[in-house]
Amino acid sequence: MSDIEIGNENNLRVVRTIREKNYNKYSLSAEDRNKNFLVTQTIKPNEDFFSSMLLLQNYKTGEIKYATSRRMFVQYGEEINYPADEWEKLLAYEIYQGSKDDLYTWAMYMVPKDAIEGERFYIEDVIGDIVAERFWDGIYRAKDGEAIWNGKDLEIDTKMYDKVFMVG
Amino acid sequence: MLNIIDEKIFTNEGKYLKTIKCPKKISASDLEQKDEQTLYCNNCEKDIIDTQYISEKELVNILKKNKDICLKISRLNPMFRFV
Repeated sequence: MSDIEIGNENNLRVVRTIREKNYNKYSLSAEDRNKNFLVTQTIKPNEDFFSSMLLLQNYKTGEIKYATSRRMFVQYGEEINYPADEWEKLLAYEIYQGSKDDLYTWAMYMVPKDAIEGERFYIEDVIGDIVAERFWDGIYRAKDGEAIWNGKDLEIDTKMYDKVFMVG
Repeated sequence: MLNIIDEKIFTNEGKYLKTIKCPKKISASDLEQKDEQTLYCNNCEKDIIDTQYISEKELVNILKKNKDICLKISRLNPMFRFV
């Protein structure tokens, strides 16, 4: 499932992200360290990204399917049904729809030391999992975003992901 | 497929269906899931059709009857082409 990108449409100053998996001794120069606050975080699962799944087996054919529920919505208003009298539930389980690769690792934002409290920044690689949109049974995480510097940390402005949908 | 051009929804044959524009610029947090096809807007206190669970035919029929009904359209929805 691809992440949602909103882009830097407001031409904000950019905050870089360094992740543990990509880190080596060349990742941070002396200048990087001197000119930036290094805002570090450990990455933990976000409860919003857990969803339920079923493992089902057809009584007649033995076919095995996994599905989000016995009634699944698919493209163009169609639905697929797995009725209980045709499909046996072998297992009910949870999946994590966020970024599993980075869980329980660390990452850091490099915030310029001349940042003014209240300044808005563009983050090209958001640390952790933030819901940008839910569609059908998918939960889509934000790849990038805008955040406000509060003097200690960056507060992600989740309203920016409202552009992923239209209402009216 | 339905086309959205400058906030206006058209059928594939070019027939105008509706303008989709919220003057209150509501946020996702203003919407509550009421049932599979319906969201409730806390700002306007009215129902919104969630187009992710509706067919194109159903939607066109609804809009032919009532152009004022509110819709939520995800940009991930393959039923719509954003021009």
